[in-house]
Amino acid sequence: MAYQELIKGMIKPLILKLLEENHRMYGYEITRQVEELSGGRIRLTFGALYPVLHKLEKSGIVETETELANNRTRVYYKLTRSGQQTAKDKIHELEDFIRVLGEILLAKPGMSHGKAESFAG
Amino acid sequence: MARLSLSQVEQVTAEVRRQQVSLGHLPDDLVDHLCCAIEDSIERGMNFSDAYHRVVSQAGDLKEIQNATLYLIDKNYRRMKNTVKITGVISMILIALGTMLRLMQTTGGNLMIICGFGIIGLLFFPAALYVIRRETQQQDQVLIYLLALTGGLGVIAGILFRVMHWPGAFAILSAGYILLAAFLTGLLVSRQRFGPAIPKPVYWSGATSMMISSIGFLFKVNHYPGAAVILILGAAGMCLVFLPLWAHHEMKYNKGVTATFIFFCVGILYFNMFNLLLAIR
Repeated sequence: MAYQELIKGMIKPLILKLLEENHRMYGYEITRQVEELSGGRIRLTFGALYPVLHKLEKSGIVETETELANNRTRVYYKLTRSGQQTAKDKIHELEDFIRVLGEILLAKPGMSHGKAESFAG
Repeated sequence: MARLSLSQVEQVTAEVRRQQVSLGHLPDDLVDHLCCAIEDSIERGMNFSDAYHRVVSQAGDLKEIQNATLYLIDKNYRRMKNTVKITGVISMILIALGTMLRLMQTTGGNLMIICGFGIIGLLFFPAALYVIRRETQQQDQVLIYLLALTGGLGVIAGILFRVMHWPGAFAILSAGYILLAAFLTGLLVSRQRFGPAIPKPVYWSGATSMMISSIGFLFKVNHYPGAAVILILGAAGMCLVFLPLWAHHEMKYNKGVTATFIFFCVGILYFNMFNLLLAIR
């Protein structure tokens, strides 16, 4: 699926967005939510999700809580106090990036930056 | 809502442990993730066994996830991994060019060979050991990896001394081999202690064949009698005992042929071909 390739650089802000909206989430819950919200078009694989979650934890953006659930240990991830501002910044960055992409894609040949912006709305 | 029993969760935990995932709370993450996916499949009407095999095969190589995580979070690991890649290529080029120049009796060949071996011994080998040690995540095996480092350095230095006809080559080479033998034994003991990822017969047959081949190589380099017989014995042990046992183990657990498996088989064949050519020479 083409989305899998395109999503690569956007996994971190997507995870931060979900963690910002939900108090805490575990890995499988994050993948399920991304899948549901994208109508099954985006699937976060193990290999894409956990390295990013651990990197966010190492950077102090998220912290973990463990709990015993259904005969196993469940690790919940939640934003730290400082991570909440980082999450806002990263989400804003992604929104900005998507807006710029939209401008480029909607621009017609020979159209100036201002015209493209107004065309993109 | 389906809920796995304790024994079913233990089966999933054993699979994660078998794939040598042990970095921080990553094993807990993966066990829970796999269990949730299995429970979802059971909800959709599958039985546990089918759901388990489907989810585990879809998850792929869990060790790769650990390595990718390490690569992202550990700056030293990242540096060492890059060092291994770069110095591996540079040293091979230097040794190949140096050998060519030496064969053509042109100047500069010796210097290139010395630089190539120097890079292997001082940069590539320690960096590779660091990478392996971080990937295996068994921090209390320092002595074993120290043995591997000194033994490997001894063998590399011994080969260099031999090629350059410097004195003391035999002593250095022999000391290197003895240390490597101690490393292999230590590795086997620790594997048994930390839960064997490779069955004992597979490991023993591989380690023994490798040791026999190494002794044959040592004999050949020093022009001792009987080198050819030892080299042939080592190659036979590798191809007729270790390879079938290991292939059976891989087929059983990986449910098919992986790229690593093919690469490893080709590597063993090349290694033995080299040894057999050395034996008949």
